[in-house]
Amino acid sequence: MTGEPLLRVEHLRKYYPFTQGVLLAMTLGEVKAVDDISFAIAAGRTLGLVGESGCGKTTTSKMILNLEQPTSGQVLLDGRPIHGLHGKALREYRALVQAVFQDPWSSLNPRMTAGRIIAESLVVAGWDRVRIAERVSELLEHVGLRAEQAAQYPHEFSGGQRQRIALAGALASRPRLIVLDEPVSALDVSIRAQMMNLLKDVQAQDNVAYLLVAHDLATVRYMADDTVVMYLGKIVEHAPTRSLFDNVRHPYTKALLSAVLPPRVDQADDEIVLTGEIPSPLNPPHGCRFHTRCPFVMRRCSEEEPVLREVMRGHLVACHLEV
Amino acid sequence: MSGEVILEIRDLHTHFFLRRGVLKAVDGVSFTLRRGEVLGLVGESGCGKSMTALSIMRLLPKGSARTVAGQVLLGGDDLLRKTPREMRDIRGGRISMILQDPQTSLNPVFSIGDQLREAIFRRTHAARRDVMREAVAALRHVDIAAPEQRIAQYPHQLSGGMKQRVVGAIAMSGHPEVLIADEPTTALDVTIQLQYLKLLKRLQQESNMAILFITHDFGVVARMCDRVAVMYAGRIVECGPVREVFEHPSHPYTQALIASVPQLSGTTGRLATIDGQPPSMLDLPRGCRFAPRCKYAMPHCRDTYPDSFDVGVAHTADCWRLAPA
Repeated sequence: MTGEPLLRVEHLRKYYPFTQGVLLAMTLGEVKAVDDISFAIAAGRTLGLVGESGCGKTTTSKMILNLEQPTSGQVLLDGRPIHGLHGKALREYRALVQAVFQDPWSSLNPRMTAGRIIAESLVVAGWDRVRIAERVSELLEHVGLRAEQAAQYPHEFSGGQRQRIALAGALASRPRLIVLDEPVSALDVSIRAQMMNLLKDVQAQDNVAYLLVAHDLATVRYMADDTVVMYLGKIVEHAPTRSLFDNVRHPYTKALLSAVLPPRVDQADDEIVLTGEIPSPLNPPHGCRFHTRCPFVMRRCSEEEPVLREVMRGHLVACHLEV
Repeated sequence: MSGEVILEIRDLHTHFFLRRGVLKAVDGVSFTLRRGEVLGLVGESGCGKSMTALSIMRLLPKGSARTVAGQVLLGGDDLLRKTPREMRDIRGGRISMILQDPQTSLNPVFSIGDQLREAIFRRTHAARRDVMREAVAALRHVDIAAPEQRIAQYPHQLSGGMKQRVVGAIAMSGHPEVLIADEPTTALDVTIQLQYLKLLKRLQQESNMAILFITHDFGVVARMCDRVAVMYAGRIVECGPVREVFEHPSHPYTQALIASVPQLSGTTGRLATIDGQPPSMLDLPRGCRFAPRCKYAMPHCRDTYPDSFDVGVAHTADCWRLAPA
C-alpha cells in the first residue's frame, strides 16, 4: 500500500439548507449530513463504512458516486477531482465507479431481462452486440449463474440470485471501485454467506475495490480491510479492521459492537447499552456529538469537539478519553 | 420453566388456495408455550413463521388463506372455534401482537394518545379521565419520557424506536397472557434494537407474560428466548432450550444456519454456506424438505418425512440420522 490510493476523500462536507415557506423561502439552518470527513481506499481493497440512520453514510456514498455535489472538500480518483466532470469524462468515471444497492427487488428493472440489465453499461459504452452477448455470458458465470439465464426476467430469480445479477451488472464495465450499499442485509441468513463469499472471490480475481456501507459490524469484519465508523456526519473511529476489533477505542463503536448480538447464550460483561435516541442532525449536540448518549461523558465533552487523531499505528479516534 | 402451559398449538395447517395450486405455508406445526416463557420461532423468509402467528391470531389475509386443520388452545380454549365477535375481545385482551414495522401499525392521522386510549377504552369502558390516566401510565411504563406531552403527538413526530414502544404499550395495555412479537426490532437501528429488547424482556419478567418471538436472527434469540423452534418450509424441524440448541444443534439445517452467521471473533476466512435454495412451497419434496440441500441426505430421507426424535432434555429434531439404532 504505497503511493497514491485509488480513491481519496478530503475534508468532504455536505450541508443541506433547511427552509420554511415556499415562495419566499427562508433558510432556517443547515443539516450537516456530512461534516469534514477524510479517508482513502487503495486499489483492490475494501473499506467498511458503518453507522446508524442519519450518520451520513448514504450521503457520503452518493458523493463518491458523483450523484451529489459536496458543499466543500473533494473526492479524487487516481488523484483527479471527480466533481465538475462533464460529458465523456463523466461517462468514463461512471464506468469506473459502480454500485450495488440493498434491495434487489427494487434495483432491477422488472421489464428487462437479466441479460439486458447486465448489458446496460456496455450498451451505453457503445459495444457491439456480439461482444456484449459474450461479455454477459462470461459475467453470469462469474457470479455463479448460468449463461442461458440471461433471457429470464428478474421475477424469475430469488433474492440472492437477483443480487448476483446486480453485481454482474456493476462488474460489466470493469470498474475499479464498487459502492456496496448494504449488499446482504435484504437477503436471507443462509444466502448472505454465499453472497459475501462471492464478493470476496470477485475482488480477488478482478482486483476491484469496495466501499462497503453497512450497519452490521460482523459483516464488515468479514469483508473490510479498513473500517470507518460514523456518527451524525462525523468520523468517530477509523482503523484497520483487525485493529478496530482487537482494540475498540470509541464508546460509540463499543456500543455498536454490543448491539451485534452474537448467536451465543453467554453475554459479554462489558456490554454497553445506549440510552436515548439518535439526536436530530438538524440540531446536533455541541462539543462531541455523541456526548448525549455516551456512558463515559465528561464536562469537556459538551464544550469542546474532539479531533480525530492517531492513537495507535493507523488507528484514529475522536474522543476526549484518549489523552 | 415450570409454569403451566398457556398456549398449545397442535398440528396446525394453514394453506393458500391459489390458481397455481395449494401453497402449504404452515404444514403440521405443533408447540407449547408456558406462562412466563419466551419461545423463539426462527426461520428464513417464506418458511411460514409469520403465517403461524397470523393463524393463531385468526388474522390471515382475506381470500385465499385458510387454516384447514389443527388446534390453537389458549388456556384450553380452541381459538379456531371462536366466533369473530369472541375473537375481537380475545385479541388485545388475552393475546396480543406486535408487528415488524411501527410505521404501518400506527394510524398516521390519529395521535398516539387516541390510539392508546381506544385500546384501553374498548376493554375497560372506564371514564374518560381514568382512561387518560391509564394511557399516560402505559406510556411511562415503556420508557417514554414526558408522556403527558407525548400523548398528544402524532406518529410522524416520534422516532422509529419510540413508535415501536408505543405499539408495545398498546399491545400490552390489555395485560395479555400471550404476546406474539413478529420481528419487532428488524426495522430499528442497531443500538435502538438492543434498547427495545431490554425493555421487552423487563416488561415480560414483570408481568410474567409468555412471548412467542418471531425472528430470523439467532443473536436476538440468544438475548431474548428460553426455548427456540427452528422452522423450515412450513414445519418445525428442531425445538429445544436455547443453550442446548446453540451448543448441540442436531438438525443439519440448524447446524448449517448457525455456522453461516458471521462472528465477531475467530477467523475471517470463507463462511460456511448452505447450497441451493429453500423449496417452492407449492411443490414440496415428498420426504424431508431439507433433503435436497442436505449434505447427509440418504435415500430414505427423500421418501419419508422424518419423525421427531429426542436428542436431549426437551430437545427434539426431525431427522432420520437421529433415529435410535
